[in-house]
Amino acid sequence: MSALPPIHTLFLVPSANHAVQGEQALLRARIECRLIPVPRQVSSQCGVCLRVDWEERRRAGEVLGAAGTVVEGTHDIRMDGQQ
Amino acid sequence: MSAPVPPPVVYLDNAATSWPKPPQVIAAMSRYLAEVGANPGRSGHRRSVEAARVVFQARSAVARLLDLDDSLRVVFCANATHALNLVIGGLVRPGRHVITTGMEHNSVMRPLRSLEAEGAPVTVAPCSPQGVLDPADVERAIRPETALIVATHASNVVGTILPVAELAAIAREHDALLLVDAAQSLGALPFALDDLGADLLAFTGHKALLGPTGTGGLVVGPRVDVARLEPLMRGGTGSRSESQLQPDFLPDKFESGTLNVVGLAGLTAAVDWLLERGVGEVRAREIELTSRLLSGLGELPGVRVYGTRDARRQLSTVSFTIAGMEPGEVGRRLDDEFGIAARVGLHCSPLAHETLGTYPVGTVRFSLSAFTTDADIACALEAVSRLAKTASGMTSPS
Repeated sequence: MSALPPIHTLFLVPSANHAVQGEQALLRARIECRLIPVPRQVSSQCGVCLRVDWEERRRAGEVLGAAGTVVEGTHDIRMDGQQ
Repeated sequence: MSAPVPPPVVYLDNAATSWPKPPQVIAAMSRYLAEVGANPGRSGHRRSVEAARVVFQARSAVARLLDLDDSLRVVFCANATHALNLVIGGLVRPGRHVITTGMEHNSVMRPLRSLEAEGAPVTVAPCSPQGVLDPADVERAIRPETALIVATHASNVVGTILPVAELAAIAREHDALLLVDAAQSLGALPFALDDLGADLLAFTGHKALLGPTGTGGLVVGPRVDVARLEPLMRGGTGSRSESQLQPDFLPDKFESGTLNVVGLAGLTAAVDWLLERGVGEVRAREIELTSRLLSGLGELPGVRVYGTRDARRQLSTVSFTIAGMEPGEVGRRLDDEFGIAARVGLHCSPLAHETLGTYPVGTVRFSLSAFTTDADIACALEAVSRLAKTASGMTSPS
């Protein structure tokens, strides 16, 4: 059986300061996003990351880049919660 | 519980801390405490995220005020002294040289004298007895090992505005950095960071910005190599928790420990209030009131006014003495007999008072704010007139 398709992409950022900066940039670009705790399987740090719909991942990446938000990595999340 | 403190009739101690604050400041702080209250950036729950947004809004507000592109270059500190210590202690190594001016506050001079004792010599560029700095005196003091020029943007004693843009040009030409102490000027003068050319700008939130005490910060310009600036404190930042090493990026490198989020909520409201009115508008009004105060005091027999005595060349901070009456006595009587709050003495600036020729006795200082009224100025002039007559024996004490 093939893996479920991704539904979300997580953008990992250095700190909550960067996360809120990125959130504001995404909201200005009308990209829905949510700040969520970084999943344990993604990173051991206790901060937050930006979650956007998987279909919006490319545009979100461009918006974050243009806003100067430092993105340290991305992770796709499948419907069953797995990366 | 202590008894309520009756407010003074006239509050003219805004250079120490401004009062009153816009009602929006109190409302924003109350809202934060009642409805948010969490630790920013430490947890992922909604209240913590909302607290992080509160901090970000404060950074954005300061960035708007200074026309900065990147709000993450605003590092929050407890006050301007904290920010000045961060730079002076964290940037200059023994063997390097620092230049400062004859109008500095002890928030600059004490960390510099401490640094000097550790082997980093300090040159004080003199100012005139009116508190005016000739940038050529700073340029003459430059050495090959000069790393930093530190200058107040405006004196806390007489309000004199220093030519920091010229100092910035000198710093750039000689590969040094310029640290500006904007404790008195941010919120009082309209300017963008690029107008000043400052590499580092220390500010406080509770004076002309009209925010609460315990807020302030450091703006780090693009010429500063963040890797070379050591933090004053190291510890939890809510970021890079997997590492025992301090983060190396702005602003986290310099923001260990939980920030004063309730204060920053108030600071945002204060800056928004100022921006809505326009700092230029507030400045124009203060020039008008300061001119009236300067000319009124200048006409009183026995009263000596210090500084440039030109409202356009200074902030709304006016220092004076009354012949035959100690500043401390003047301050006490202003408070007791007229309900006027002023600050007397050396204003934590012995060097500036030496420059002005008022050391060690000091002066009486009136300092205005966006809330000062025509009636406040009239009341202050009438009070000083009466005290001057008393001091000269022209009338009996009231």
